[in-house]
Amino acid sequence: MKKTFLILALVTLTGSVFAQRKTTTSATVSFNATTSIDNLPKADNKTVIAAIDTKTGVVQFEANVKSSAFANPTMQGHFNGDRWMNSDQFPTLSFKGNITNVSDVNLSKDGSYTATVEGTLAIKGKEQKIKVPANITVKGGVITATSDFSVKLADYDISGAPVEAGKVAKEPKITVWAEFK
Amino acid sequence: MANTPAVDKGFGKWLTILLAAILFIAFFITWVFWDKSAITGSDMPTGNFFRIAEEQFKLANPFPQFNFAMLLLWLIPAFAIITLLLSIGNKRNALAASIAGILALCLTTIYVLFTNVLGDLGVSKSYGIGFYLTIIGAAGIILASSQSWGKKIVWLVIGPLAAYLSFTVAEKYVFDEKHESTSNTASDYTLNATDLIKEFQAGDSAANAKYREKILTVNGIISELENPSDSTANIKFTDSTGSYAIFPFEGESITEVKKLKAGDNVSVKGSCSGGVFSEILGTESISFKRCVLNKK
Repeated sequence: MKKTFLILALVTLTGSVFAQRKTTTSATVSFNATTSIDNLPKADNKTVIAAIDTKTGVVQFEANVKSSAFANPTMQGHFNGDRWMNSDQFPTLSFKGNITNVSDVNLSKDGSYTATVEGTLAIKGKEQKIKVPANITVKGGVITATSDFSVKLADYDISGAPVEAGKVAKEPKITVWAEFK
Repeated sequence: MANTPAVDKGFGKWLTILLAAILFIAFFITWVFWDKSAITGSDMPTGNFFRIAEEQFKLANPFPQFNFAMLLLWLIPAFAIITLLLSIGNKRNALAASIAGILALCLTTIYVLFTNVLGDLGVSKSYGIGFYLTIIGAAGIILASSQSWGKKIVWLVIGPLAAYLSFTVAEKYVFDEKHESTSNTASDYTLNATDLIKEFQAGDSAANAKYREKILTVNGIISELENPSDSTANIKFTDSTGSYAIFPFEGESITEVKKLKAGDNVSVKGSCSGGVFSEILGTESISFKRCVLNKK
């Protein structure tokens, strides 16, 4: 009897823990490294995996680098090449962090919130701490999060003549969008 | 013909023989270094030039349909030898020398322009002895050949000019190029979603090697239609373990995709981005890009 109770309690507890975590496999990460002399280096990745813990504010993203879709095939080849993302060797990029002002953001209650997310962004095997702003909207249990920020390519050992020549922005803009149901 | 200079049987003859020999030999020795790859003049007609550029630096020949025309570049060593033989025999060498010289100067210009593009991509570059000897040999046999100075100057300029114009056109083509429409591209593989997922689960390295950047037609029952909006929607096929294949749509297919729902049996086509094991979900995730809905 005691054993059954313990198992039931464990199942209930496990269920409630997982219920805090919402995931999606269709978050979007847009990359824009265009400059005044080159409008080709930009892409959207629309199949990004993301998770948010509504209680603790833990946020995670994970993207298949090769799913970044460029309009120009040559640019896509360069992006995935070993001088840039080296996506054969480093097929994913990821982020794991926390909403630092989680006490100001009630993800269980309808409303619009301004959050600060701090964590580790891993690109091409290099990890860097980043701190970015995010706008979060909660409506009917659906959480929509957006964030705009930029990253320094040099922080991830991405450099070269196109960057120096101004054909690729040194600090590309990253736009993140995710909807958690 | 009255203005055509006489065949030089003295110093000019031996100079032409020397220059023709230099041009011939230089064709087969290193013209440029791209990182550690040494590229000779003969690497262009053999196809090594664009093979190395594509395999090592992701810069493919934009016009592979014209590869056969590269074979014409064998005329450089061929006409260098013909020029040499004609000079030895005290025969008129203007035509042979001009053809070899024009083609060689044209090719050296292409090498410079293409190498500059690789340099812009971060590839270290330097020029080898073969490159400089080719310029000396090519320009030299044109100047030493038995023809008027007006023609010599035209032949010196025409190769580099033609190369520069051709390269500029090709560069613009590459800059403006878009992916071939997936609808108009034949599928490399056609398979069921469950079989595809199973293959990636069995070993995603082998599956990635087989399917990445290939066009796949995948048939299956939709498990979920994610983020349907006016501009985008993702069709997802999930197996019993939670592993899935996901296809984002936009543009031409979006109106039809938005009408679909979970449980519908569909056929979709897209460029496979490969599969990765998701640390977040603990499942295999296979994603696609440039997707279209196949007509039933």
